[in-house]
Amino acid sequence: MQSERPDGSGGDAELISRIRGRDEDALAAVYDRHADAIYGSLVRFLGDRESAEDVVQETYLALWQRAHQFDPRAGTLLGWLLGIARHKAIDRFRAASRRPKIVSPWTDRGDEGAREAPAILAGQTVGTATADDDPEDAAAREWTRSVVRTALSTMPDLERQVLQLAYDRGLSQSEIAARLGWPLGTVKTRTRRALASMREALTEVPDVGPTPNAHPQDGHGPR
Amino acid sequence: MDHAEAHERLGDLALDPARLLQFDDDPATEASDLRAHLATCEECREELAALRETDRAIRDAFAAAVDTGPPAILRVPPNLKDRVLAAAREDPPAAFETAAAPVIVDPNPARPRSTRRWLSLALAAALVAAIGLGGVLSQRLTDLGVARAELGEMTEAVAMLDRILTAEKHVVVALVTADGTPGGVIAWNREEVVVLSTSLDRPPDGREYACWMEENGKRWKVGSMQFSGSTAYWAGPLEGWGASFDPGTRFGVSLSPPAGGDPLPILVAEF
Repeated sequence: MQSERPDGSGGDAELISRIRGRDEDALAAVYDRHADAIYGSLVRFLGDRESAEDVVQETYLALWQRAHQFDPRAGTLLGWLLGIARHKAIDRFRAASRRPKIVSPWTDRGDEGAREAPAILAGQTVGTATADDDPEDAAAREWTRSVVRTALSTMPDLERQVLQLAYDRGLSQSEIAARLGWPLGTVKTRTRRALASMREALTEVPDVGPTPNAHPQDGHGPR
Repeated sequence: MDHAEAHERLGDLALDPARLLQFDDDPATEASDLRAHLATCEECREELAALRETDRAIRDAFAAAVDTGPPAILRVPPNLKDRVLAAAREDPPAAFETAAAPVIVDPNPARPRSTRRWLSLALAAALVAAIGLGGVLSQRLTDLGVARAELGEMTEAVAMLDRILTAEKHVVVALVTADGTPGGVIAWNREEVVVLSTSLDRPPDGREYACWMEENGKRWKVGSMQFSGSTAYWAGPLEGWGASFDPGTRFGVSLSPPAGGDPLPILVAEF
C-alpha cells in the first residue's frame, strides 16, 4: 500500500504528507484510490445512495482536516478512512433508529446495498441479525458485512472465486484445486491474496482487525 | 516448532475455513505442535485471534448475503469528486487555526515549530493565569489547608502537562462548550493525560463533573474533574482509561449525577 503507484501518484504516506500541506491534487488522488471501496460499504450499510454520498464527502473532509492524525506506519489509509466512515454511518443509523421505523423505500431499487441495510433501519431480520438484537450491535455487524461484501466486489474475480468456494461451498483448498483444475499452489496464493485484502479492509473494524491508528505509542491517542 | 514456522502454519490454517474452525479439536500431530507453540507465544495467539475474527467476518457476510452471486461493484457517482474537492476548498486552512474546532498539536516534527511554540506559549499563559486566579480564590477559602492541598495537586497536574507538551509525541485537543465556545483542553502523550478547564463552576454538594469517553453511543466514565481555585482539571496515567481517541470517538465532561434524564455534556472534544 505504501509503494509508488504505476500512475506516479505515490504511496499513502506521501499522499498524506502532501494533504497536510493542503495539496488538493493529493486529496483527489486518495479519492480516486479509495472512494469506491468506501462508497460501496456505505451504500450497502445505509441502503441509500444519497446518504452514502454525503458520508463519503464527510469522510474526505475529515481526512482533509485531520490528516496529521494518520500514521502510515501503523495501518493502511483505506482502513483508517473506513473507520471514519463507519463512525459517521453508525451516527446516521443511530439518528434514523430514533425516528419512527418505516419500511424502506429503497427495497425495490434492485441494487444489493438497497436490499440489505434498510431492513436494519426498519428493525427487520437481516442475515443472522434478529429483531431482538441490540440495535447498536446489529448495526456494527451490518457494517462489517458491508465492508466484506464491498471488498469481495472489488477484488479480482479469481480471488473472489476461491473465497466463494471456500466459504459458500465449504470446499477445502485441495477440493477447490480439483474443481477449478488449478495447481494447489495457485489456489493457496490466490486465497492468501484475497484474505490479505479482507484484512486490510477490516483493519479498523472493531472486534475484527487490530486498531493500529488508535494506540498511544503511535502518537494517536490513548487506548 | 519455532516462531517463523508457527507463523507460516497459521497462515496455511487460515486458507481453509473448516480447518481453522476445527483447529482446537484437531487430533493431528502437527496441530498439537502448533497448539504447544501457541501456549508459549502471545504474538502467535494474537495472530490466530485476528485470523479467526477475519474468518468470522467473511463467514457472516456470506451467510447474510441475499444471493450468492458476485457482489455488485458500486462506484461513486462522477460528480461526487467535484463536490468533495469544492467542500475541501471552502474548508478553513487548518483545524487548529479555528477556535471552535479541535486544536491539534501534530506529533509529526515536520510541522513548523512556530505552531507548536505558539500553542505551548498559549497554554503556558493560560496555566499561569489559572494558577494565579486559583491562588487568589484560595486565599478566600476559610480552610487554607484545603487550598494548599488543592494547589499542590494542581502543581502536579501542571508538571504532568509540562511533561506531555515536551514529549516528542503528544496531542492537544480543544474542549468546547455546547455552543462551540472553547472551554479547555485535553492533552496526552504515551503515558499521561491532562484535562484542563477554567470554564466550570464548582459542582453543587453531592455532585461532580464526570469525565467520560464515548464510542458508538456507548459512554463510560474515566475520571472526575478536581478543582484548584477556579481551575478544573483531571490528570493521571492513561492506563485504565480503556479508551481510544479514534476519529469519531468523543471525550466529554458532564455534571453527575444528572438532575434528570441523560447527563448533558458540558464540555466535549471530538476526535
